[in-house]
Amino acid sequence: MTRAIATLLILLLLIATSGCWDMRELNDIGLVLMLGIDTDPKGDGFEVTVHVHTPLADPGGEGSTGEAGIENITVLSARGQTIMDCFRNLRGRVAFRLSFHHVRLLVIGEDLARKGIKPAMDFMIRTQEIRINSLLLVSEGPAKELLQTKPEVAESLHLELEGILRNEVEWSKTASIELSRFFQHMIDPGRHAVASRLFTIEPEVSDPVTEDTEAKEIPEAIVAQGLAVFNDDQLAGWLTGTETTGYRYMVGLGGESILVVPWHGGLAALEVNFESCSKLFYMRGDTPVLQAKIMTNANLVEYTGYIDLANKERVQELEKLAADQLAGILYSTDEKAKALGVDIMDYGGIASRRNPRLWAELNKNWREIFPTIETIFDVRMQIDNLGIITTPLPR
Amino acid sequence: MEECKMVKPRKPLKLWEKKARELEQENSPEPQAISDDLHTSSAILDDIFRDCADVGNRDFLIPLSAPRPARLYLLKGMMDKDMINESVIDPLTDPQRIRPESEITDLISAHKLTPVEDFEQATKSILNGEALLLVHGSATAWAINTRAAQTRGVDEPETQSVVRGPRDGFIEDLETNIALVRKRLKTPLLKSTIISIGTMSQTQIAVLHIDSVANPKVLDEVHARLDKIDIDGIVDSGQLEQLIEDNAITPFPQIANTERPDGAAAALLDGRVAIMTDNTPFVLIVPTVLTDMLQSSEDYYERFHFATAIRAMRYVLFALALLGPALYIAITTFHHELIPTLLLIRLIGTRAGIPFPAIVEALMMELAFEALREAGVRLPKPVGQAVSIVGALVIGQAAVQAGLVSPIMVIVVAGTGIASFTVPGFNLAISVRLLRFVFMLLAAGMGLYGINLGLSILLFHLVSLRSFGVPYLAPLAPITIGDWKDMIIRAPTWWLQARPTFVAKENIHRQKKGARSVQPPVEEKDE
Repeated sequence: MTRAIATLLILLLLIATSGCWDMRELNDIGLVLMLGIDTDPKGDGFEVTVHVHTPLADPGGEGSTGEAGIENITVLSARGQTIMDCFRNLRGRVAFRLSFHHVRLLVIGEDLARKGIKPAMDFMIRTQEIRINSLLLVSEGPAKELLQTKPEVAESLHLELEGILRNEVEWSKTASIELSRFFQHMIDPGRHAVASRLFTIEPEVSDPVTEDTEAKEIPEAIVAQGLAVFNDDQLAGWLTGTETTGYRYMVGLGGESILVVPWHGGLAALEVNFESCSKLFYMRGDTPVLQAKIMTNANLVEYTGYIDLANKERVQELEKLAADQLAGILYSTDEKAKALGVDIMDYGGIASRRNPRLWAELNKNWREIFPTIETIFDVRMQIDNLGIITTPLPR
Repeated sequence: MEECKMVKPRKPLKLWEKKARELEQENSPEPQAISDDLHTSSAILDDIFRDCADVGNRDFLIPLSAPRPARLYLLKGMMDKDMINESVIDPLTDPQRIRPESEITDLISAHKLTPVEDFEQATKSILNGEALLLVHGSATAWAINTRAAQTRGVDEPETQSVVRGPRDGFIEDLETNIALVRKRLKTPLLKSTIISIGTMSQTQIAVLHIDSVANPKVLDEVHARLDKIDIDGIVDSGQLEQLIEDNAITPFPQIANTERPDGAAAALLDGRVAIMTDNTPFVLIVPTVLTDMLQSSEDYYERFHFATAIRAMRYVLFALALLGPALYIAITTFHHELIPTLLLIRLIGTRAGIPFPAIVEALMMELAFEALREAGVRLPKPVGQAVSIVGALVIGQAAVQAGLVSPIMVIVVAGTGIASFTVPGFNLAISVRLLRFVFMLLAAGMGLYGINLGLSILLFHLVSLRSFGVPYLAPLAPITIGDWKDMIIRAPTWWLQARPTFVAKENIHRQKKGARSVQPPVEEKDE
């Protein structure tokens, strides 16, 4: 009995210890949804821009479904010597405790990216609050400006960007890169890292002007397309959307892409699906050769010419043409990478896996050897589906 | 842990008889013998039943060759008037039916006639509702069973209802209750021994078991514990339960109760022991393990797919009933990172402007809910409906509109309430209701860590419990995989060939292997 009472008393003490633990009521927290990091324009440190979701007094009741939530986002920024310093300065201005658990998007400004992001990134992987599977993006221009863009379609900017990145496999012109993957590639000696590329455009269409919105100016719209290429931790250059398709197919991310092939007086649009990519690495004389065989299949979705497609040879001809075009895309990505001197498509990794003995020789001065590699892209395509009609509309 | 020790196996009947005799000797030093003088005897009885308005008597003369005065003592309200007239008074007073050499015992046409020699026994039989006949010149009185039980008829059980299954339920009369079980188990192996407990109430307690199936150790233990009881009165089996259970401090019930004769019969077939108390429809079943209380007798009447699905759901809902609000509090105050972003934003939206921390909000709602439930039980039935309407309006609408409570909390509390209603054993459900508050406080103090801590302690506690020598978590701890066929899953009936091995120790096969009927082969037609 005495022991039971003693145990109870000890348990009571445990309850009292919770005071120094991390208890936070839901309506006391400001949820950080997006994080932008730039160099401090007025000093050596950083400038951090955040999207903070704050609770709105919404007493529920008739017709209220808590929808006051998602639009209630404030954009704030603060400067500091280190990232944590920035956050502390930020806390002086927010009436809520900031929670970074739900940061899904990390946007790095171009200036900072060119300078090197390692000093800014240490915090991101050291703290428990930021998820290692957050997505890393690099903006053209300062992240601060980009984070102030209004979303075009979705309720908030972070939902819009997440949606665009989630659609990556449907158009293959961007790739979502998680923080963990970025760091893995960054520290890998035979590889260089990439991150998603963000920029803004001025859309040519906008919401119709009504009586309420007078003298409406066309807002900027945010676009996630292409990749930012890093040399170590410094931004080396950009890949375009089409070059990104080459990147995705080479590293096996796959996805659907659209090819438009001029053919017999018309244009054939093909929906290409990535199947597999097998690679070889060997020496031919003094030249290292990387040979990649990429298998794809495709559906013909559009054809503006007048050739009857109910003919196997014709279709094979189209397959050949389209495969050549896709190979061209891969070569352009390859050339860009070589020109920037960054091995983003893991040629080093391929060499080390396919030909370890050769790699042992080459890896010492891989950076010099990399641009001299001869690459051969062997693209195979099979058109499975010609659509509902096989004969074109009569001329 | 002394309670867990088993007494040495002995013949149970002898044990209680011996004890009862001892008790009798202690309480009544010298049973006074009935005298053959009617006046002396009736004077003593009148003195015993002084100021007992419900004990009546009737004097008459038996016209034998030498007419003998006689007196009949009756307990008004417990006798069958017609029967007394027809089978006692008429034959004894009708001169045409009486021949001079008649014996009194031959004249009375009752089905049970007991000779009574002393006043103590006489008092007992009168109080039991028997008619006591004193005849002048005879030192033996006769207790005539003319009892008419004043009780309701066999009715549908109110608390343990099923969709498919028998509709009869136990009532307040012990003999009827035994008969209801006997109707289902027509074997002389079904034994029932009756003892009376309570120095004042003299409550009849029947212990039922199936010989050769029930574990004799358990049976001995039951009798030993019943014999230990020394109390003025037992009014309901609930009191008896608290006097004989293994651990009186734990919130978990270690004895199941049933209002259903089919449930009692099934338990007896499992090898369990049923303890029936007079004047209550609730029959105690021992030994009982935790998983028994998550089963309903209907599980065996529906086909096994549905029964298994329902049982799985019950286990999930049982956990929810225990942890629902605690998990909500822990996750929303400590572990925001566990909630998907959009859901979290929605939750923040609903909680914005609520002036209380989540734990206070939850306690308020839970208390309101418990108050409503209690009010619903206590109030007369017509008023009870008004309570539920007011409760639904006040809690569901007004509290949310006033911004005192978030709508999510209403959902959590209501869901938890519904979950706790699905636990078939009401006695287990109330202990879960109680423990829910403990877990809420733990969650508010220490988050998921606190809940885990609480669950660990709960587990340690549960494995330490026993019900009449059977570990409370059997067949989970100790593991007997064979018994899992009838735990969360309810195997098809043809596959349930053995009684639960943690209950029955011998004679465990209840059906022959391969006795299941199979589809006959398709006959080929000769054209």
